[in-house]
Amino acid sequence: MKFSTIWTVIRKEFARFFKDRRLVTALFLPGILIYVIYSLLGGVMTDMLEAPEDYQYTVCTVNAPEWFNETAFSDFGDFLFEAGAEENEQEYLDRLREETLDAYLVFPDGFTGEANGGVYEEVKLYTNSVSTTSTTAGQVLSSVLSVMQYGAPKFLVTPSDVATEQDFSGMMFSMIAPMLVLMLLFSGCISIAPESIAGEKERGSFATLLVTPVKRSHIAIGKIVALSAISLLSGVCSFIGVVLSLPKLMGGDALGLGSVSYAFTDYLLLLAVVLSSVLVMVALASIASALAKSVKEATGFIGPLTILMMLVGLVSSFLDGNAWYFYLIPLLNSATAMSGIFSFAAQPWFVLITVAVNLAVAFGLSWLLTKMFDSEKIMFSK
Amino acid sequence: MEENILEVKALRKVFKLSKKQQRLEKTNAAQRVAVDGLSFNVKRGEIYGLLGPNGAGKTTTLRMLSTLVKPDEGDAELFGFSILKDAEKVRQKIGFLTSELKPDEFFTPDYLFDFYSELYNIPTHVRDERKKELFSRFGIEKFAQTKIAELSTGMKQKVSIAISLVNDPDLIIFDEPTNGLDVLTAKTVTDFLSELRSRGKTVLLSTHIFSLVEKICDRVGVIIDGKMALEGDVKELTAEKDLEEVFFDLYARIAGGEQ
Repeated sequence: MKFSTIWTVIRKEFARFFKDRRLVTALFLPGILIYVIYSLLGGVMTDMLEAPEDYQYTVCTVNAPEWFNETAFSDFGDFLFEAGAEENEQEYLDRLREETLDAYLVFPDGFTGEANGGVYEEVKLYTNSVSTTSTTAGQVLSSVLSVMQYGAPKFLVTPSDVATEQDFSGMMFSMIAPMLVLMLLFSGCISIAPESIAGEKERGSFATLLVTPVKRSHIAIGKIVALSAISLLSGVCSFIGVVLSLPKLMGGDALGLGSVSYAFTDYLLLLAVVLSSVLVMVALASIASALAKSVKEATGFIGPLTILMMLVGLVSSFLDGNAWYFYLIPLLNSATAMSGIFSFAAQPWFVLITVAVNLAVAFGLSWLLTKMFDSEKIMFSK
Repeated sequence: MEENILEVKALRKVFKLSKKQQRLEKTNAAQRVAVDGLSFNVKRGEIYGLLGPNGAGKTTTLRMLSTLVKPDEGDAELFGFSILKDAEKVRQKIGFLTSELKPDEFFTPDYLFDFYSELYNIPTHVRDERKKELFSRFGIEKFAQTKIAELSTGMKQKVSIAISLVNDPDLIIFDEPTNGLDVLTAKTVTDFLSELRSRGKTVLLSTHIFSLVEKICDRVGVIIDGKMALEGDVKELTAEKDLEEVFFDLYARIAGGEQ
């Protein structure tokens, strides 16, 4: 074996690789992006799993004994207690579901806090597992009630979750589905945009189109609309597959995911978001393809966009869906709006803003694509 | 007096050079003048040849005239339409073909002919008649339903020519029409160019092949370094010596002058 020959081949491969900036970038970019994404995600998840520091927990109690009212909850956070009446229970449970109340604690009438001949009094603690603050409040109240029974059990604490199977399923979907939908829609775009634009440039057939009397803007719009329709078809097929398989994938009925049933309006809102998102994605993929000289190069340009879609989908699950400003950022708005729709908390106004912003951005990007088709530097550079 | 259907007025095109291009061309210049104040006229019904070495500016000139790229200075009028102000009208009137323009290989000649005809708003019956004639002329009928990818290089070029003529243009601009073609296909193309002239069409072509100019062109413009170095009637220019000698004498004078 002649090592000098092998070394010559190795050096040639290294030279090929390290002299190509794109390949070098492709080598290091995933590491950098993983660091950025995981750091960001870690921060966002921490924020999500912990209630804000300055949050005031609202707890409604019924028949609370004096020792409970005197307990120093300030060590655990800012707790506001409301004294309630048992006959208004339905109102408190509704507030819990609406997340305007964090916990509802019911002591039995004439609660003594002592076991009487082996019979334990029952304290009911209602929380909403879909709400982070309610879950936290429930944990604090459980801990306090446990500490009060130090040594031997004196009463029973019975936890109840007001979240329905549908709420839970919706929450699960809202965490996973936006990212999946974005990724699937984008994968539809990236499988055709490079071929349609960079491929035509590479093969020389694009210039044939440019010498016809057709306006460049018409070529750009025609391409974007066709690519959008194909991408949407691909995305819808993939989405149906996801919706049908996700309950099975996640453990099915055991987790209650089979119980998800969305209203017709939810599907309409979802369709509007998906359609407008596809337009933005196709426009982005088309621009990346127009900048590239070949299909291979276009695929390289689109790589970071794929990671961006993943990031946007992930981050959206942890964002406050009620903050209007998130809906001004294209694609992040789509993911946030989808998250709202999947968790049965869709707000039509936010969906409307999302669609309007996405359409405006898609229009702007299409205009940019038209300008790029006009640019001889972009269309004819070698 | 014969009518000028193309009037080129002091066209100039400058390309910025990237660092990579500077390295490749071994120059420190930030830009390269591809076409430098080029003017000429083409008369109706003639074949006009732009002759010059590689890099002389022939392709850039034809690209400007077909409105694919914009000139930095100057203008040209085709049938009275400015390439700057009426680009779409100019494109409606011309047929442009270069070896760099290729039909989409996924489709069949039949589909592409129909597609481009639709872009030019050509009525169906006119399109079908024209397609039959052109496909027959170039022997494409047998391959009309075959994907372009499966055709030979020569047949692909013939399909490209047929497609460039979907609008029955009065002016046909061909950049290096016989480049990369086998002798048989090249002969078909040159014969067809002469045939176009006999039908009253005007042809503007670029080439670096002297024999092609001598064989089919009525007039020739010799471009060297983006400038019109010589222009005239081919027969007059070659009355005493052949075009190759004329060109190299001229080139030696210009190159010598520069030195």
